[in-house]
Amino acid sequence: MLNKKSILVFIKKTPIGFIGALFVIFLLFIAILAPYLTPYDPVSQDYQRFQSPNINHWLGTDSLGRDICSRIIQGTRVSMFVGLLAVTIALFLGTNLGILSGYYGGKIDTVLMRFIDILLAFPGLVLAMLISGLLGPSLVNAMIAVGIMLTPSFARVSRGSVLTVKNEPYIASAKTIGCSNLYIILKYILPNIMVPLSVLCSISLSIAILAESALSFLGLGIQPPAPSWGGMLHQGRQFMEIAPWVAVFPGLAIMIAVLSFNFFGDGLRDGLDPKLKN
Amino acid sequence: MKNKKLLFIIVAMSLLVIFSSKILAKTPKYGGEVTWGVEGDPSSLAPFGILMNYAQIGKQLGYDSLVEYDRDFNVQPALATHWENPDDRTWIFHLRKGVKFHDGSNFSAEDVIYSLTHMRDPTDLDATAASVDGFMPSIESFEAIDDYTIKIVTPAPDATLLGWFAWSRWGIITSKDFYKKFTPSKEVNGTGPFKLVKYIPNDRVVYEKNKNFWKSDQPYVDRITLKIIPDEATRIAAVRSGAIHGSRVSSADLIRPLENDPNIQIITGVTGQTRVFQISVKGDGKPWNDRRVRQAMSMAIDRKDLSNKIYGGKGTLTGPVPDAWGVYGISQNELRQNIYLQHNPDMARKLLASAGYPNGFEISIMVPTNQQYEAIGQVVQAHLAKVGIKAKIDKRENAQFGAAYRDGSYELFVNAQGFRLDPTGKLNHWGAPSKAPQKYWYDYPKGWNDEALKVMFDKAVSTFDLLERSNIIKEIQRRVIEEATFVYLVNPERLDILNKKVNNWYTDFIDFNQPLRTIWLD
Amino acid sequence: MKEYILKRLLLTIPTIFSLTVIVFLLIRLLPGDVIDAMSGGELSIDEGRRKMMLDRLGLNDPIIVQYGNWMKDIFSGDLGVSLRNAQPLREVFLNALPVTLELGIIAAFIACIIGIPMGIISAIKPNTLIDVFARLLGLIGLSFPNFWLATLLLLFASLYFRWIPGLTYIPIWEDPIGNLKQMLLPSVVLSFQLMAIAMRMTRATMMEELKQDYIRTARAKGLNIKTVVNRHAMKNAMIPILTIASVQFGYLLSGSVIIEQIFGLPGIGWFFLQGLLDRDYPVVQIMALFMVCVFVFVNLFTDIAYAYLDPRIKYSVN
Repeated sequence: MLNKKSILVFIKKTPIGFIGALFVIFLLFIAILAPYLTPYDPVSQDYQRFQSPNINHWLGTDSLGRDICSRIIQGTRVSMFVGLLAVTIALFLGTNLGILSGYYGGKIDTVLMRFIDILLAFPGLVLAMLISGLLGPSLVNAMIAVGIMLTPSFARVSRGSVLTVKNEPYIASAKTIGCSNLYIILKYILPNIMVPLSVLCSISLSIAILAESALSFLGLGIQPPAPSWGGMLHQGRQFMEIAPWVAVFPGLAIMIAVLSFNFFGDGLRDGLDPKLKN
Repeated sequence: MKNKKLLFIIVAMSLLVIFSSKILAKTPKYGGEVTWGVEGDPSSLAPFGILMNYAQIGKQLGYDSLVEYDRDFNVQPALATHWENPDDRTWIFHLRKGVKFHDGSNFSAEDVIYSLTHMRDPTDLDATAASVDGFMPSIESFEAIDDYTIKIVTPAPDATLLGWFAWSRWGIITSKDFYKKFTPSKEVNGTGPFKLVKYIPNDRVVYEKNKNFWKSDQPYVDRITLKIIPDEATRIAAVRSGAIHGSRVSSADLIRPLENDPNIQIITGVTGQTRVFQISVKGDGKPWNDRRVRQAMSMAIDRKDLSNKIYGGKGTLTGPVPDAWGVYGISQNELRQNIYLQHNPDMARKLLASAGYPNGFEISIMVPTNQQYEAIGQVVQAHLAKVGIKAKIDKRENAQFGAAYRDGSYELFVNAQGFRLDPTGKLNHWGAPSKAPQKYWYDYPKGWNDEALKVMFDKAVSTFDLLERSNIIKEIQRRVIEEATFVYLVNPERLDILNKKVNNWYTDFIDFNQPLRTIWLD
Repeated sequence: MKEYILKRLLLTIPTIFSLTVIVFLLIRLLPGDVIDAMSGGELSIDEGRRKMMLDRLGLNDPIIVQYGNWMKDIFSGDLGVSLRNAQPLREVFLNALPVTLELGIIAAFIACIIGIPMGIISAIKPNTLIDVFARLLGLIGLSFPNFWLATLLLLFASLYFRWIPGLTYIPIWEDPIGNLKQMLLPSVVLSFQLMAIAMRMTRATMMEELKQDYIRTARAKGLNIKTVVNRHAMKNAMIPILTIASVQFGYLLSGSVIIEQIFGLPGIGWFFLQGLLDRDYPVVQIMALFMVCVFVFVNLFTDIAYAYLDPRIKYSVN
């Protein structure tokens, strides 16, 4: 799939998607290699505090005298980790729930959808808070919390899409021929739901990264002194006037990451436009 | 002729000076409405047994006690006009006549009796209140000798009784049968300068001027609204834009841009609140049951660095009793010489090695989910790391923190110790058997046991002579700093930012919002 | 259809019931209780007194009894009292509700009024200036953390205009102008992300619709594109939009938790947060009940709207 030709087609079709993909790869690269890339120790407080960006500290220092550039690099790990894992959890759980519910219908649909309703009834952040509270503030628990928070929308969207095509004639004919349900799901249902799901994925990734920052605002993010963009933004907020770089850089990092994932998602959607839909 | 002219000029000038100084020395103006920004919701305005700090701020405008502190931290008469001690266990308070409660009823001894009966443990009246037994001096008996005289007898001589009332936190006077006639969580019936208008939870508490206040020339403003704004950045923006008249700020860094603002005044000062490490024990208390380890921890801390990073430099050295507490605090000069409070990582490492930990050890620091404490935790973690102590930060939200504190399932946490009725209140861990749960190793008599200190503590409580008390209390502090049962960090200054129009604000040593009772607007 | 609605309504009962039970149990599993929350780290209460306080608050009763008592409170309409300060919760809740409702409605309104039309235009006229602007706005709205946006706006306003939105809540029926002046900025902040999502979703599904065969046919036939859009594309595009919309309800409430904190608005978001942090169980339980009722009915409405908009979806009634 990833041969030269298809990549070129991808670039031609969605230049923005390609830029997004580049950024995503860049961020992943930083996340993986973070410890080797940081110019200083991210938790060391030995530097003069509130330095504006200069030759020694490219992004300046924060209120405790730590190098912001190093912290942003280290924080990439947290944000990438949180986002990807949370969305993976949601994608897996939610899509399965949604497809099962929509395809089989009946009692299964009823029970599963009530369960989804229960999850949905909690505003995302609140659910994340409850789970974080139960499990304790930590990186892994934050991811689980955000993942569960995202699951309902995946379930509903996949179910909705399944419902749209469930009663199409070609599904009925496939059944008559004797195709197994699994085959039908994989061949006909999945391609149909990929489009809305991919958009949802990209939206969800951004929600996950933003949710981590909101959890930090409420005090439930990861344990200090480990840097997370959300935590840095929250702490830096109060110094916006005397040292704006403390908040601006993590804020920009969040925005860039979120936008990259969105561009990439858009690109996927446009690129994957199933010409063989019907 | 010349002499007469000179005389005339001299007289004229003197008159001018006298006159202008009278004009320039501002006289309080009456009227106006003040809005003050508060960080949290009081949750209950009940007079007794409510533990939350914000509850105090919510109710203090409406209540008085027998005595009060003035702005110079001296005890002044309030609802009691004078008092005497016929013997060292007996107090006779003479009550002020002609005082009215907000509901119009007359103040007399029966209100004081009602209040004294319930202030220690109101739990049968109010399920949300707690017993404040650990804070209140022991009282053997109290009675009304007549309508305007109260007699209180303590089981042993107790110099702290006046402080209990002056603190005005729970030792206040409310009207007889208050809990029956009113809804205590949202109604106030006191003798204080302001009457409660309404309390909207999570929004505001509104008070208006008590026209029958017993200080006939006060209060000055017509209305005070305590607006609840949990977010600090919003509070600062609100003061700046004039939406509120003032608020407290946690760090000098945040208000640097305000220093040149023509509309804002910044008032700072020391209060009775200190920051400390509180060390617990799990099991046998290792490794901090060894004094050398505790001392090492104390020496590992660079208090100046802490003060700079967290409070923008506005923090001072402190022992258990802050040095600004009258004559009871150890002076800054002496504290600077105290080796246990000095930053000495080499010495710390040596002590650790001699205690059997040449490579340090691991410990966890519990912090509440609060920006300031998280920051303190991180700074302290960095300091400890330099002597080999690997600290992990364990952030817990409020209820979790309380639960861990309750069952002692923590190793170390950063705490604030607030004002107490008396300096001995800050030292009562080393005094009489604690009325609090004996879960912590330092709680006498189970844990760290020092008879000599207990004797000194009892003496401090029962001695009325100021100089003698002061010496004993300082001696206790020196011992305690050396033993490092708590590691004393800093005493941060309180910062308030106010609109320039507000007059007569000062830093209240008790660290609530006492000055609100006496401010006036231009 | 009628049977379907009836069936769904009946099904809401077990949903609501099971949710309240789950929440009831879940919050009691959280570490710490209301007394711990009140005493924090400075004050300790001995075991005997603590037990007495818990007894008085009813927290030492068997779970079933506690649940039964709570059910009694709900059905009698008084909604119980706060564990923290014995305030009657009905009053507190009913005072806080209009604040958040107003915040949410204005935010949703702004988001739809700006977001949906932008999305449609963006899809119909791709790569024009409007399309680019809309997409840019959408991207910013999606990626800007709302608490930061709120702080920046407040800072900006207080610094350059010496003004911030009034902090003392005035209900809209008392003073409409004052109320709107106060609620506008917080609502805008809350709506930002929603606006972006609405725009992007509308654009995406609209573009999907425009590629459909029937659109090409209509174009080939020479039909006015606007008519085609209005009559067919819109309807079909609405389905996924509705799905997302019903989900975004939750966003409004969680967003309001943060916005209310920052702007000092006494709404139910803050009420809930406070109750959770304080372990004030009745507060959390009431909020859970409220939330599940809202969502169950919103979902029901959405599903009915599905059926109306897309005749391809048929619901079977067992």
